[in-house]
Amino acid sequence: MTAREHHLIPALNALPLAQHNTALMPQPLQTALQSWIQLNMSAQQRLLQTQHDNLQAWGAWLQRIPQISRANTMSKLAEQEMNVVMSAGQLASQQLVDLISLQENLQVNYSYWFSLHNPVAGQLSNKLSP
Amino acid sequence: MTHFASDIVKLPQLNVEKGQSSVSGLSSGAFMTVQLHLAHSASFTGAGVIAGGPYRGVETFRGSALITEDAWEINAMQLCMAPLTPELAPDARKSVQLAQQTERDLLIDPLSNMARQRMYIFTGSKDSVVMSPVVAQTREMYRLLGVPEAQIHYDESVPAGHSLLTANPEDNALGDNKPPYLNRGPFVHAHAILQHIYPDSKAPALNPTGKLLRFDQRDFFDSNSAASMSEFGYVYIPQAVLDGAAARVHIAIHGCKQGSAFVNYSFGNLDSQDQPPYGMRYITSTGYIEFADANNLIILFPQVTGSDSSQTQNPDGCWDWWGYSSKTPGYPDYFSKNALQIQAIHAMLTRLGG
Repeated sequence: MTAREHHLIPALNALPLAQHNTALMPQPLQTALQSWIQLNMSAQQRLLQTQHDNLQAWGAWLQRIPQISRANTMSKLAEQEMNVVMSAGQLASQQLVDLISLQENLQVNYSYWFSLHNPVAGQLSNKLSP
Repeated sequence: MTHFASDIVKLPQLNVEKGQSSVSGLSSGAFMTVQLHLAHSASFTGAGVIAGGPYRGVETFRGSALITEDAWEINAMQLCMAPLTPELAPDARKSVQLAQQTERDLLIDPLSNMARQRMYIFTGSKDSVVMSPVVAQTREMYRLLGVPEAQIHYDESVPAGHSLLTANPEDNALGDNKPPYLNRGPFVHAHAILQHIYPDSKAPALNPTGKLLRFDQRDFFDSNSAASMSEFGYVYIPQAVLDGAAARVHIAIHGCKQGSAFVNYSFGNLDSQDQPPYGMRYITSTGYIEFADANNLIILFPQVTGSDSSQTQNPDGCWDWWGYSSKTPGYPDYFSKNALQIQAIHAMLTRLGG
């Protein structure tokens, strides 16, 4: 089991309990609650995946640093140092863009979920033009 | 050996059987495949959809932004590609309603043509770009539109990333989700698609002998930059067809970043210091040509390219499936016979005789 999957254990353990506790609820509420749990688990998984990918990318970046000492000329050394600095900037900006994209993903998915499970919210979104 | 000359030809008129053409595509090419297929279903006998969502899926949730144009784009990037749960993927029933409405408006061919179509639909179980629940809705949409179950081949069993599967040692590993989105697979997608659409086909040729031709695509979209289409398109014609044999046309539509002229945008600027990174790989190395040669199939390879201006925001060189090429972004038309790119591709098919 990966560290990422390990984080999901509390949520996975909670699922049968939630299913048991919802057995006495009306069917639409039961469905909505199970769907809500699934949505949150999926969002958590997406966040953990992003964190995992980001750490992996920085690990690969760190491995480039020892390569610098192998330069044979001053110009090559300067070029390699600048490359490492610039790639850190590029990595940071890409991860910021990815983070904003993830924020958009969560925002749209959660609002759509609410519109599906709350008729009033659904009607409001349909009133937007066209 | 396939002959590829350096000249630019006019797309020729050939002995093509009408109504027997087909189309396939990956990713944005698959979304375009669905749109083109429904818009001109009278011209087609089948389609191959690799990692593509249902018709007009971007219209899933109007509430995602205040402005319609923004809402459709954000739905494209999020709900149509990476929904958090299967419930939040574009709903096939809504796509069917939209298709029926578009049919009533006479903007697409009659949906009754669906009953004779043969569909190949694929999603890799490790695809993290266009996730499997989205593609499952494409299958459901075609079923609801009247394609008999026996004519739909749906495959979700392969642990593939977002890609067209090939047999090339140079391509990515099976589970990868990265450009050029060509992965080494247990089978070749192009062959599987064409074999399903044309069940009477022969095995692919080992040494194709036809001609790969370059033609000026601008004739077909009046050089309108909003189309985001490349200067050149390509067509493969088997030698027997050049000699007058009857043929059928298959349109192979590449995905994002896979166009022959696509160059990356780096920090918002066109990386014009470099040549296109992937070039002709989608055309020459995906297996379409070998299959075409053995079966008198003409393969048309239309091409889009990247553009990142205030007029057309398409830096990844994707086909339009959310409205970037529309004159009226609030009421986009990327899905009907009048859509710029659909008009252009269908005009190419008509020129060939299909």
